[in-house]
Amino acid sequence: MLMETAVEKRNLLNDITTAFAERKSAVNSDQQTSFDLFLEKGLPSSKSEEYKFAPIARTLEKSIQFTTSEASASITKELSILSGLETNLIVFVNGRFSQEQSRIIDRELQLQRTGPARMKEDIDPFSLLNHSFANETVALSVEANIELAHPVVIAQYVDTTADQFSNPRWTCNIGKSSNVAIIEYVVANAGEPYFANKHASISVAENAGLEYITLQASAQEVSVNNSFIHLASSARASSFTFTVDGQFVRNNLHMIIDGQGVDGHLYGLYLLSNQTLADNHTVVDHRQPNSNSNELYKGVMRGSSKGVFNGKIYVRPDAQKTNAFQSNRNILLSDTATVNTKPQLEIWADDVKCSHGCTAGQLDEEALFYLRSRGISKDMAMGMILYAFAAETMAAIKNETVKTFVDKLISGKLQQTT
Amino acid sequence: MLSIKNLHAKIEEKQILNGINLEVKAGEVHAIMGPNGSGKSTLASVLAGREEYEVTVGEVEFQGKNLLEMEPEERAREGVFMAFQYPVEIPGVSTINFMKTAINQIRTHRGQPTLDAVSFLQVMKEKMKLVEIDQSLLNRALNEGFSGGEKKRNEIFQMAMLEPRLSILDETDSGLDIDALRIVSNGVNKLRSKNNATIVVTHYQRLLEYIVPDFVHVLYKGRIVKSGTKELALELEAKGYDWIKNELALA
Repeated sequence: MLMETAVEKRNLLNDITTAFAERKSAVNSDQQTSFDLFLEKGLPSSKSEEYKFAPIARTLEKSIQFTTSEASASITKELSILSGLETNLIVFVNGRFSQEQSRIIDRELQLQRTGPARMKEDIDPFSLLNHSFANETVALSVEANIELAHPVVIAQYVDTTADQFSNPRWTCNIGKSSNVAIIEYVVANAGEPYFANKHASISVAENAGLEYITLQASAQEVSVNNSFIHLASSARASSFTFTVDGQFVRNNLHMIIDGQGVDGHLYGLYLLSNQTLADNHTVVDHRQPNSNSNELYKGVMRGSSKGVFNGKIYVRPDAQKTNAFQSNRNILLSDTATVNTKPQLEIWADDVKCSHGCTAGQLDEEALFYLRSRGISKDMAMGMILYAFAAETMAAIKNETVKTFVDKLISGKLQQTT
Repeated sequence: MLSIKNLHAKIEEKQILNGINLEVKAGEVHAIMGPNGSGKSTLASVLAGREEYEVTVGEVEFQGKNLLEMEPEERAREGVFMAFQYPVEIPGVSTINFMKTAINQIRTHRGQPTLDAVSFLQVMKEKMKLVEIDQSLLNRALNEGFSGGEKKRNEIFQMAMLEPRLSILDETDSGLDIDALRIVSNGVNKLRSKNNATIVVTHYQRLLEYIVPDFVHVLYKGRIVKSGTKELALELEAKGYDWIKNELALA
């Protein structure tokens, strides 16, 4: 006789649908469309090509409640983590923009709150989910010819005693020949895991510049981060993604090169331990000729952590004379850590220079012995080699205060030996 | 200073050293010669503490302490230095930072105060002259993109900085042209004193024209089969290693 299983499997989509229904009065028709599309797609399973190594549904099932009670969270932690740095501060509390906590110090930085409009780029199921649940879109902008004096910090504050599920949505338009630096992070007051489902879209106009830094260092984080960077002719952009903690972090970073003479850089570093899973999916989409992109992602994995890298480069038929380079390098420090890395180049133009390379290996034992043979302890020697490996991903950060902060974050993580 | 007794060692399942006996006193220079595969570099590696070699029998005492029980870094702090046959390139690690970390770890171990940036640079400048190494080289990442000669010079520079009691030069002459050989040898000679000892591991007699040994030992099949003074090296040069092999075959 067959035994019947007593445990009832949780139906995530039902939970999410119930939560959506509760917000119905606040939802516009666009959002209803997004939600219908989301339901059509469903949550990606392990069979889904894009989420093959990132079992997001299982993670959510285990630990996340999808209530959006809108209970007010109390701010018990400092939101400005970059001490000594004056910044503009845009705060989302449990996914909702907080005027009270935000602070704009550069008058050239404008902020508009608008109803959440659906964007062409809302394709990923989590983008659609974000749009369905977002309260509003926070639209930042800087007009032409402005050198924004202070970085724009976008901080998500999460208080899990209120809600575990948040959907911040923001955009930023950088005008012609202007320069802006954006730093994004989460500050969590979290006893429980939380699911931060972000969607961000940045447009960089002709000849403008963007430095975009994402810091991911929160232990209870389950997140999907959809970020889009659109670049017009002669624009310059450097993105930096640093992941040093979390339960499950998925980054979908898209760089869309829609002009000539663009210079785009994507740097990433994931230093993982314990059970952390960090999955970086990047897309560099060359749509116009004569532009350059350069991507460098590195990972160090300890414990039973998992790293995933998937780097797509599209060179469209019009994008002749493109230079596109990609490199992903990984060091595994334990037998139970894993990494899955996959470059994916799709090239339709014929006069281009593209290259990619990925490596996964252990720490260079010969280098370790060399340093030890000069009197340097094993731990310190390991630290020196790993730091040298990691440092390349932050070398290009322009703001010295931010760079020092990142440096400390990385050094601190590398000093942990488990 | 160094006393090696009946040393046997293997790597993976291959037995390489088959009973080495060697006494090295302060102030002495010993040359270890031998054909390829005789175990010369293995001996150097075992003394420096390379973990892939396993000592199966025998003991090594260094200044009254059991050397074989020490981690590689402890050996270095106690005063053992090996100049590598193939110095490792380590991108991203600056030579100066590396040297400053090393020297201060060693000084701490020896109960000396650590060097601050200023006095470190002073010491460095002084030692740079000794081995005729250029500051621009030291400003770069450790050995990265260095020529063969530059790497070997950097080894002797490190030796000068760390002031070891026992230096082991593992085939330091390999890949050096005559000018580089002279510079490297000059450095080694200037560092010789009655308080420290040197073991020169080499295939060729050429290096011994510059670094004149007090004793020469011939290693063959993991044993020292012949010992003598510097004349032995000349005899080897003239007659070749087959001379030793034949002599052993007849015995």
